Amino acid sequence: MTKQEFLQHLQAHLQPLPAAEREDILADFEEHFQAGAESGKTEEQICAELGNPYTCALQYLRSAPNYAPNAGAQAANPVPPAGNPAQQSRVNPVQQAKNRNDNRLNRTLWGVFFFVLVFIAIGAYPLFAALLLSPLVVLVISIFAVAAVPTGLMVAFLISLSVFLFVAGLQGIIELTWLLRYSYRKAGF
Amino acid sequence: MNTQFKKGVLELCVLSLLKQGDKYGYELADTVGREIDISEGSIYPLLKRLRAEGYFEVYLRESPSGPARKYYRLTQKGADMQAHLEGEWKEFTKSVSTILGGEPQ
Repeated sequence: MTKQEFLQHLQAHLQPLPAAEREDILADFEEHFQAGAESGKTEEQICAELGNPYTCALQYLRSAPNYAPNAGAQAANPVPPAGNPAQQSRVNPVQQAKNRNDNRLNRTLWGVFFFVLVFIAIGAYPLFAALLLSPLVVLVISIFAVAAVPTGLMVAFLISLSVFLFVAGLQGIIELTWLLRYSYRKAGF
Repeated sequence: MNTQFKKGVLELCVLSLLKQGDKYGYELADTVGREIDISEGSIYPLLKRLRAEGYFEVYLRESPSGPARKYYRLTQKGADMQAHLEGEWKEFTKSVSTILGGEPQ
């Protein structure tokens, strides 16, 4: 690969970045080639040491502030196709802009979902807490119930009812908490 | 050697080289590339990121031949980070050495 080819490939893959930033990056590599040539290396040698321009560009894109992971996944294959560098730009800016918009919409929806959940939680947490504590009530009732109908079946029924109520309350609390946390993170407040 | 592992160490290498004195991009890439088998091209994204995080600042200085070069200078924050990473590295290698030289299986 020659210097020209390396820089062309790099530039093509850096398309999603703002022009000024792209120029800055390319200037760094121009300087690298210049300094390498001064120390007696051939363009081929310098390119070989620099490695794949595609991998390089990807590292810049990953650390860009508005990097959309979807665009990266789209360009996840680290082996660039041979041919026209313009065609190699698989990180399509239009596609990326669309991804970013989708992202924003997604986050808004998650945000709305989160607020709805908060309102539900205000009502649901006391309910679940009551469910958690209800086996105590069952215990009190069971004293009378077992006294009235003293059978093994009655005891088994009361025990399974207590376990069911307790697990239902616990599961409700765990799942609601998890949903709240998940939607909060997804909304990215 | 594992690529992820090398990438993590790269940050420490670059910061440590700059602790010895200001350097330009090629010097850093060349020095690291000679010692560690890594694509020198990945030094530049790293330099950009570390600069954005405020670990060093850049200035231009004329070179004896050709156009001006971009030099990197470690900031106080960068020096602190270097010391922190160096400490972690020493701790880590000490632990691994202990395990490697530990009781025979």
